Amino acid sequence: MIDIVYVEKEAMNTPFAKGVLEKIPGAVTVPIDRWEDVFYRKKQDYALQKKNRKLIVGVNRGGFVMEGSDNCQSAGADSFYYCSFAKNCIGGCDYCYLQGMLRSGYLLAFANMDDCFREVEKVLNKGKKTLLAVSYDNDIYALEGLFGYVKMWSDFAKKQNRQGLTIEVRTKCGTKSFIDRADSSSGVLAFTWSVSSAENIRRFEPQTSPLAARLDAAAYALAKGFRVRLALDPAIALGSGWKEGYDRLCDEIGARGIGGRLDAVMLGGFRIPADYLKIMRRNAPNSPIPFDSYDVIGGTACYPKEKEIYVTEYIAEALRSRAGVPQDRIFLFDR
Amino acid sequence: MVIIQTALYLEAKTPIEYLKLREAKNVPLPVRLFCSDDKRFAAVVTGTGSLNACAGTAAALTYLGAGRGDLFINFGIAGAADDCGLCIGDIARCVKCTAEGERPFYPDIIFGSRFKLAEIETVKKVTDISSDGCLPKAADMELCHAFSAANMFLGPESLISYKVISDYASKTAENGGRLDEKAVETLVSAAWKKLLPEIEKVSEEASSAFEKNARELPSEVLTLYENVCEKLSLSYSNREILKNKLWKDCLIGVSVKDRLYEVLGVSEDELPKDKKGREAFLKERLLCESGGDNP
Repeated sequence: MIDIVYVEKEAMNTPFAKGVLEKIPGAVTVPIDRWEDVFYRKKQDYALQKKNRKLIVGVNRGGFVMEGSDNCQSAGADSFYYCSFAKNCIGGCDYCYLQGMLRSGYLLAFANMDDCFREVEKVLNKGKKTLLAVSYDNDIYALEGLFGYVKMWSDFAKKQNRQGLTIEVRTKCGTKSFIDRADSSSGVLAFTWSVSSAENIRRFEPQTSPLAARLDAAAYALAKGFRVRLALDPAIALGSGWKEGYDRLCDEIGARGIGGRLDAVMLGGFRIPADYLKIMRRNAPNSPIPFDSYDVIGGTACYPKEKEIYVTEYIAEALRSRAGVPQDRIFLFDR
Repeated sequence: MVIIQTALYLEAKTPIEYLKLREAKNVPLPVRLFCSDDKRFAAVVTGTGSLNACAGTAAALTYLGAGRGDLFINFGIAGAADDCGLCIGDIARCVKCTAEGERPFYPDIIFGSRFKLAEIETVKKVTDISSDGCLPKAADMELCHAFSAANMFLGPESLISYKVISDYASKTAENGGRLDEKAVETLVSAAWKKLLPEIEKVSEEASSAFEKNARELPSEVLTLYENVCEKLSLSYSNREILKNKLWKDCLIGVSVKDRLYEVLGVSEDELPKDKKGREAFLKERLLCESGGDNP
């Protein structure tokens, strides 16, 4: 429950800020000069802030669009960008890179989406087969009821008549009704459900939807004509029993008959910039994930090569044989 | 430790008496410092004005060795802006702190009750202030600079300020509705009666939140770990790697004690003599995965 909303004075009278404030009537509004004054304070406690959530509504005066990170995969796209107009999400995943990257655990949402779409338009002219990921630093789908970003991107996608463009909304939320707010006609908007074994979800992804709800929502989106992807990325193989967990996950996908209709399935072992891992160990000392054994290669902490290949190949085989995902739709992260 | 900071002794008198704080004598500090015998509470009286607040806070927190897990609570009287929703006797909790020429500071509102959230503007002298309509607003003469100093030691979740409204910082009100010293003392004492249980609550909530973030191997495992480090003459980085591995195994329910005992049972003659050999031994005996599902 958000009890305080910090709103930049410049954003205060925007329809976005007004809409958000209307939806949280009990919250105290604190006017601020710049969002950075709250988000980048010294000595903040990320984990504590995640548990005691506040919202910052700001105006982004820097860039919205960045080239996709080498640690992410583009699922076969020639050009890969990600767009950041909201930071942090309502989930509390143990392995989330945001806890290493961001100074604050508070939700941050930018109100000037027109500027964002203008910037995206410029970038899109450059690429051919382009992936634009719009929810890496957040889960906009889970927060659709508050921000309405999915609807905005759906409207934007509708105006795009570009072959090869994918605007990807990635989520761990199992609410189906948000799908109804979007339009599948452009073929540009793709929903990606981030999934893991039910055991991993229960242990490492607090405050997110259960596996069955996510897969049901994915099946619903497919039925509504959307392009749907699954991300088994990061694959978490910790302790004994992970294989059986992923087997059951693939069985669940297969049981819904969606494996053959998926646009893509992204798969990769856990990896994170080594600097972020150090911060995660401080911020999430009760999670085993940051304390697992990793190799550091080029500044990135990742499973030892042998383990990574073993894990991803095992899961890829389960995806093919149990979930019925065609080989050419499975994209393995390659470092 | 909960560190209460005020400008005047009058503002700290009630908690000093209630919490049985004793004045620290012969301490090399430019401020008056009071501490409880169990070191759970301290009060520091810095004097009025921004310079005293800043220097006094920095000096006291250095002396007390303040750090993560401690709380800094500023308390004092303040003048309210006209018609901003704050009346004489109200307690306001600072959610935004401003001062001319300074960047605004926002203490986190995580622990304790909210009271009335307000913007506190730190001014050089009592003057006319006005609220922007969103938040109640009051003026004091220290807070912004006390917070600036305290934030060098503590995070924004640990910085708290309560103000009791003693007058109106307004030119329009006759004499700002200012009270005489005796009346202020009564007001401050009444405010503390409400705040003392609040401070207990804040302290308990903070202790519980910070405890959850502590990483500590079970004591038996920790002793075994230290003995293994010594036996294998592990470097700092290998100690950390081993500690992380043991911590992870404890979290996922893998028993680690047997393996540590086994290593401690290896005779000196059987141990590799060179550094590389010992690292390999460490990897093979203690760092390898034991779940059976790993390559």
